[in-house]
Amino acid sequence: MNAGHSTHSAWPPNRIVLTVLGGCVALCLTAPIAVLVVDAHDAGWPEIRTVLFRQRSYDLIANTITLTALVCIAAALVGTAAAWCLERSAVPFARLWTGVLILPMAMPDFVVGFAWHSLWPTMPPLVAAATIMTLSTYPLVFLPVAAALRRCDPALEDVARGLGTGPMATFVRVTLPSIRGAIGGGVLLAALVVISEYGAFEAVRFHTLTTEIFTEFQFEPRAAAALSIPLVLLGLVAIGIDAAIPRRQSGFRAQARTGAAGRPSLGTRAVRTLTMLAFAATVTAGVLFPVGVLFYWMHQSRRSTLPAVASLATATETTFAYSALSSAAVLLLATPVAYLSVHYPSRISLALQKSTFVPRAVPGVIVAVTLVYLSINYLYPLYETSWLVIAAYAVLFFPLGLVCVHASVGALPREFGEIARSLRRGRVYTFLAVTLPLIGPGLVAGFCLVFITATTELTSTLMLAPAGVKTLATQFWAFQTESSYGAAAPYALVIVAVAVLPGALLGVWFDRRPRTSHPGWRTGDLPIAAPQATTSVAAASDRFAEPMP
Amino acid sequence: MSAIAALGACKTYGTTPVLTDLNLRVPAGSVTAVLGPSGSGKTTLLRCIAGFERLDAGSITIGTTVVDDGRTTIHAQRRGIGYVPQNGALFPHLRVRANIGFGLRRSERTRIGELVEMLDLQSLEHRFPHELSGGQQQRVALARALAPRPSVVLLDEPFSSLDAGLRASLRWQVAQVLRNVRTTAILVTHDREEALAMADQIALLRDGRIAAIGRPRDLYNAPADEPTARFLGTANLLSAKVIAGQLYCRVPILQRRVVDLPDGAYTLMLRPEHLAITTQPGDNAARAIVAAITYQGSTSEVRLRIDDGTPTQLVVEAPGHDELTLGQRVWVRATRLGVVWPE
Repeated sequence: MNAGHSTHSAWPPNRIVLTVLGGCVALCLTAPIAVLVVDAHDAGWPEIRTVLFRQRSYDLIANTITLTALVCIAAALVGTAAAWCLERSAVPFARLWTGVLILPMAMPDFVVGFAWHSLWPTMPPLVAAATIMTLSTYPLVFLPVAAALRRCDPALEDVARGLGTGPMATFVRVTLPSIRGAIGGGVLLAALVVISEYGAFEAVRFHTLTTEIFTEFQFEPRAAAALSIPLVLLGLVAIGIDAAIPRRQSGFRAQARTGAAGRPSLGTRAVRTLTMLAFAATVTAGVLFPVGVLFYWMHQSRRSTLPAVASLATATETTFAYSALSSAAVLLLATPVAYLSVHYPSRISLALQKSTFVPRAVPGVIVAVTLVYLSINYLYPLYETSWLVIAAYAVLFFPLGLVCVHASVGALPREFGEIARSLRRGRVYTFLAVTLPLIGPGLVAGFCLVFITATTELTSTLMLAPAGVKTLATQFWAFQTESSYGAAAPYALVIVAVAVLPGALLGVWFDRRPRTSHPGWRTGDLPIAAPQATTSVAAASDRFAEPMP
Repeated sequence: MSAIAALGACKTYGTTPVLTDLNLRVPAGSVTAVLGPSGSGKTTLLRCIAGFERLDAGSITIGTTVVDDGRTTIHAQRRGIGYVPQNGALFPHLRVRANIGFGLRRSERTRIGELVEMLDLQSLEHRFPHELSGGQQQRVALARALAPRPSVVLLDEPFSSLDAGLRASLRWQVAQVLRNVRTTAILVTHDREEALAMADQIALLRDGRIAAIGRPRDLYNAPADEPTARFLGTANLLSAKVIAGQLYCRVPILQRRVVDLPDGAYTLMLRPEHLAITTQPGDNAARAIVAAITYQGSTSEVRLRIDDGTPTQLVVEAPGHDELTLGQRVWVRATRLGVVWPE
């Protein structure tokens, strides 16, 4: 084979390389599940039985299921109502509200939990946990539902109203069927978040499988592995329920109606005011109140007797290092998978892509447990090193990065490469002059998304970080558990502040105007439209939840 | 000499054959239109010539170089072709000048100015693609393709996303430019008007092979079979007979004609403009009733029902100023002899 020529074969060399790379990535990401199975098997059935079949475990399972169900219902109601009010009514400042309403999602749950508990310690744990989780997960429903409402033609609703159907009946008979897939996807994500949450529940003293696994892990790793089994099953059940929701692709695309012109006005001025008050209350409870509490504690300035393991500067540095390295790792791993599934769609590439969403269904605590197991048994030099934390982040947040990379690569018309080749340009020049400038913003977005998420990670960091190393989240946690609220508050405030710059970059990326009328290259067509990283995460998990063809 | 030759080209996607033993020769310096319905393999043929796809069997030659022989292939970047896709596919992050200069080396940058002038892009040089109209984008795409002086230009339905008025004027401009630079061009299209207006040669693609090839006039006026006739325009088909060298049509619209054909049954194909309507009875005219009129300004397309008890209908192109009414009794006669095919 000489330069410029190549022989014919069924699979071009590119494809073989990409498939191998993608296979390696998928293998790494699904390893935790495999390890879990091995681990449980090693523990032996009798031991698993003594841990699982006791009152304590039943209570934990019941707690987890009750809470998950409550949060799912509440998040579905709040998220759908907010999306409907914004997309289908003339609430003033709709765009601003959209931005503000997703803010609670960016707040670390353990900070919100801490804020509520520190001011109102007598609140019943179930109520507190349900409230906090609803506040942090309703945006996961709100975003995909808002996107679905925007996609489905309001003319359908107009027609129904024209045929004499009332507003409520119209919603149930016309609107709901076209958004139930979106609601399902969002609720699934919410459920997965709830069953894997640790910090917030620990803060309000509510016990679930995850908090128990975390506690057991410190004393009895085998018991932790045993308790992981019902947790993984719960995750799979949630995915199964979601997959059972019928989804139909709407036959035609709506011409987006812009502005308030086409929107029906939502009742009277009083109703509009009430709606806005409800929005404001939600955001206050989820964002303003916790931030306020943090400032309050900082000003109380009770000196902590507990010495800080990591100063604010050191903790910030560690957090940045972990987050940046894991974000970079995610992008590096996601690129071959995205390229493979975009350019060579096949059963194999689809299976590879879907398998990378497996970690999404597995709580972080389990990923951490399996990484510990893996390192102790096979890779001891890695045990208790920062590399393990970074690996855990990469596994946990891979789907977030993949979604952004996939969207960018998928939106890049293949013709660009062909044009470049017909103009005598080789691969390297084409990549640098065409591909990189065009997918660059998407890569930056993926980086930011993983980065923000990683800065708030608590559970697996607590379990994996080397002794003496603290991130902002874990140092906050250390003070918080000792009730040194004044000392803890600055760390949480830095976490919130750190989210601002990447958050702003994300906003810029999602909101940028399309630069061409090329039909294959419109921002609106990206699975991620508007500030909707999680919409696409929802879409991604949607895809994950679908049965393979 | 042919600038491009495809011989026995075969291409299959999965189990769907797209090109089946296709043979096409494109003379140097000519514009050849590849015309065919959607799904006939037009774009695949173009992509194989460009080097974006590989043949399963057969060969493609550009100039004197075999670029694909079914086993080895020369990469697209070494084939010296210019490619203009349907939507232009301008690089969205580059200004017009940078788009045109994309395939040029640093020393060749002066060429950008020549192309800007050639395609009337003077005021647009510093714009981004999204600031251009559809027609302007296509002109830039053509300039970009022509910049490295390719020996062959491939245009994949370049005007299909434009509105009718713009399409006509751009068609004319592009044809001029292609002739001026004396490059060999293949234009893929499903628009017969475009093919008839722009091409020196039309190749009709059907089911993955060339069903007919020839000069536009020859293909339009003397197509070899019914599908070719129908694809290039409206065709009236009437059964006819030759008896002792005389052609008789079942509907009496023809003058007596001596033809050099053996006796037997034939089909007569007449284009709408080969027929004329009169309001007075005359020799060699058949009685008919006006069944439908589509007024088009300068002409009207009139559908006539022949008044002989059969459901025979004829489509006639009548001058637009003819005042005809539905149900009116008229006479129709042939002004030219169309094509006669044996049955």
